[in-house]
Amino acid sequence: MKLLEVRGLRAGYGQMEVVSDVAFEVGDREIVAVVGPNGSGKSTLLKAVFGLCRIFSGEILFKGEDVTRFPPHKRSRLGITYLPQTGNVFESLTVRENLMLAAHDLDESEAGRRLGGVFSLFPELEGLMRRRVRTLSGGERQIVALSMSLLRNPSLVMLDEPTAALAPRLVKQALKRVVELRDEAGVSVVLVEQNALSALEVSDRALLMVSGTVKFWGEARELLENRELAKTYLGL
Amino acid sequence: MVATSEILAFLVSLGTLYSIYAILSSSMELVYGELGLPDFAKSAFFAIGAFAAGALSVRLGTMLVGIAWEGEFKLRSYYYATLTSAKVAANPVLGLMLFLIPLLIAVPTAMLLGVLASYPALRLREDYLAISLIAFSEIVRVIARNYEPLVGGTFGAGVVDVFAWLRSPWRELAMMLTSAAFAFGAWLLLYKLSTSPFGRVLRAVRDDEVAAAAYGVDVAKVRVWAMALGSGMAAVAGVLYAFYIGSVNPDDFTVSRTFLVVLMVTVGGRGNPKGPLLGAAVYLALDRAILFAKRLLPVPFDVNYLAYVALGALLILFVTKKPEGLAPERPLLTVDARAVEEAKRAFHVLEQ
Amino acid sequence: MLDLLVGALVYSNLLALLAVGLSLALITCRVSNFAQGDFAMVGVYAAYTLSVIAGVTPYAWIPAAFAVGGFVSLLAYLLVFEPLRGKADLVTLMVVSMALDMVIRYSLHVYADLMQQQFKVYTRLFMFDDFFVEVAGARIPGVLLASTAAVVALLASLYVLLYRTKLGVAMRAAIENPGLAETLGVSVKRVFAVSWFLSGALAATAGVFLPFRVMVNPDTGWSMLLPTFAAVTVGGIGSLSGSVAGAYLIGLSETVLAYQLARIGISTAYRPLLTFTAIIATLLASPKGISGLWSGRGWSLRRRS
Repeated sequence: MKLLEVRGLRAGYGQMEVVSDVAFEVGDREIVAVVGPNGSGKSTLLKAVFGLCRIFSGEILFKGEDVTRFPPHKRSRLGITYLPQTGNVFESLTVRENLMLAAHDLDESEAGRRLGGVFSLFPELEGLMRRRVRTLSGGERQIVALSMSLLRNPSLVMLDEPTAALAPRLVKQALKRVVELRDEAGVSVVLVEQNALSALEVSDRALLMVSGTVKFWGEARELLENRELAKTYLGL
Repeated sequence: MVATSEILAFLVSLGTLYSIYAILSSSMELVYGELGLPDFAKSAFFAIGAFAAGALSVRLGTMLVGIAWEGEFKLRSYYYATLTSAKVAANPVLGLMLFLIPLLIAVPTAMLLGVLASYPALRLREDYLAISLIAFSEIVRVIARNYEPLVGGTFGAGVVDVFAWLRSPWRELAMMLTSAAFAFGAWLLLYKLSTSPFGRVLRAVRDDEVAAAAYGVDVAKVRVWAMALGSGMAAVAGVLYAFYIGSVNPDDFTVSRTFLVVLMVTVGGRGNPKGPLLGAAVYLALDRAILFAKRLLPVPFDVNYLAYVALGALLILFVTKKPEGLAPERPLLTVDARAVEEAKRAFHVLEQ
Repeated sequence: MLDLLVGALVYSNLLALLAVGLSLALITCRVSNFAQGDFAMVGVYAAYTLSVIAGVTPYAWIPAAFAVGGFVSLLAYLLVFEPLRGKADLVTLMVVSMALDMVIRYSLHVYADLMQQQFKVYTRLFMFDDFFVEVAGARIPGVLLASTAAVVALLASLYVLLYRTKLGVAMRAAIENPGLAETLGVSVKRVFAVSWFLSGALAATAGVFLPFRVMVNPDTGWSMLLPTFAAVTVGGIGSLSGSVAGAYLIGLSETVLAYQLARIGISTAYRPLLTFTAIIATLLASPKGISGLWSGRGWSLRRRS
């Protein structure tokens, strides 16, 4: 049983279909990159898996359970988290308050335990606790957002362009953290990325989406070596 | 037993009031329904018309017939109004002049003020524009209430009976027909504007100002025009109202009146020319029904209060359950398919 | 002179409570609540009724007024503003709040009539009897002490709630980004409900102090509305601390202006002119208001939008 299975998914907004007949899967401790040109439906795919847009047809199975019709907070409780590109932290609150909110439905000891886990993964976080998020840098905010996700103890974390707001030299660092999520936190990651090359270098498998359909699904290494696809759609 | 004459009098009176409200709601529809500007100073523009009639009709009348004025305006306006009306009874032209002159002064004044009021719209968020317009409206009322030479302050001002040269019931009928004529004119203006390209421009600005500007619409100019027309129309309604009631009192022109007009447009349906007519009808029907109920059910409190509670609840109900109103806005009319086919055929003929 | 100062302070205290309440409605549901003044009157009549029944001073019934006002406001939120949240535009929300004002204000008129008949007391243009305290030879009216104490206590409690409790964190989060709060499992509806309860409760408490200074009837709340809006505007829309600062600025300057107007013989009915000018001037010249001076620190709860 795979962690996440998506079959024949058609999704979009209102009457508009943006994701057409997409199928892929994610196993335990795996990083799957979703790459492709702008407007190919990558973000919509993540939203559909989390339940934030309209699903016309298809199935989404999480840990074997059909979650296609579940509301977002229910999927969240089952172990999926979704980090949008913007608006993923509360700027007017301190780091501590943001984390408090993420852990609000946990009891004291459990919250403390998970927080400890997050601190060991991102040691720089401890020093930022009293800071208001608005005053943090792009990279620091991302750590906070990721930490908030991790506090919910997910099995699957879906990241929508985590490097978009980062300076180029920080992109590698951010992706290194994604790898740490897999290796040290034991979490699987679905990663939508514009920085295709960097993303594919750290991923296990890859999904190439063009105009809502799947042009490639398989080993990330294979996509990198496929000169034609890489050049046509990823500009590599 | 109710005599036919009583019923007729009731209907004629209702007709006059309906006409006046139809003008008001049409003017609100133009500015708020079509353009989306929350004209919450409507009561003030309405008041300008009424105050012009109140301040001018008696003074002008006495001046024209040569009656000398003794005493303060606030104390004597009713007395001199009656005297002047007696003169009008013998001289219809006098009545006509005393009606037209305040009208010709009120409308441009209201239009000018309306144009001035449209300027803050460029800088303020809509709800704060609305609050500013309400504040402006209250200023007008407060000034009229305290500056006694205008319309007699809290005493109010008497207004000349411009139809005194007719006997009842022709007097009341003439009032109604005049009001109805203006109402028809006002509504026709609204209808023509709404269904014309200008109407589409108004709605475009309402729906997305930035996009409209990107397509070359001079948003400021559109606002100025709409506000000028809307305010002018409201002033006309005000003049008619003053002559209908026979007197003018500043406390009659409060924010509550603006609210009633907004109610009419919301219930009637924004963006549809039929809306204001329906809305005015609904309001009047409710208003009369409650007055009627007052006589049937003796309750230990003033029934007027219940009227406002009911109207407030009605608006809330409509906004939450039926926001498009009774006459919903119809989607843009596109070209008839047959017309397209004919045009294609004609084009082929030309090509050959 | 002393009376002028006392009047200014009491007025400002009341405005502070009303303005903070109005701000809460604004930052949660983006509605300029025209019924805010009426919540104050609900408090007055609640306290009045109870004090007539029990024969005890209205001061004793402040907690009751707090509860009743909060309840009415909560009801308004649940029945009217929550269903419209995210669906109606700003002006429509305003119009709805005007309708709500009609409903509450005229219901209070009906209540006033009924209460008069039932208890044989004046329910319009009435005042409460105050107690006085001798301080350094001056007679200080109790309402100054009581209203100041109430303002300090309530605003301090509000601060503690918002910045030191889990609920407060959830409230501030929901105000900034309701969508994100919702995905984290916060019930935005419940959190906003608390805000609205407080909005009405603060107004109702302010209301109880009114009849100790001026004659009161169901429409008095409506006449407090313009200064309240001015306080919120001048203080900076969206900032609670700004609303408090704005309230004192408006309250003090309005009282002083009225005094000066009376001295040169102009009717104090022209008072609205100051508030009107203050609103327009702030919005056109410096939209951030006073809170622009300190935004980024302190009590600046701003919406993401």
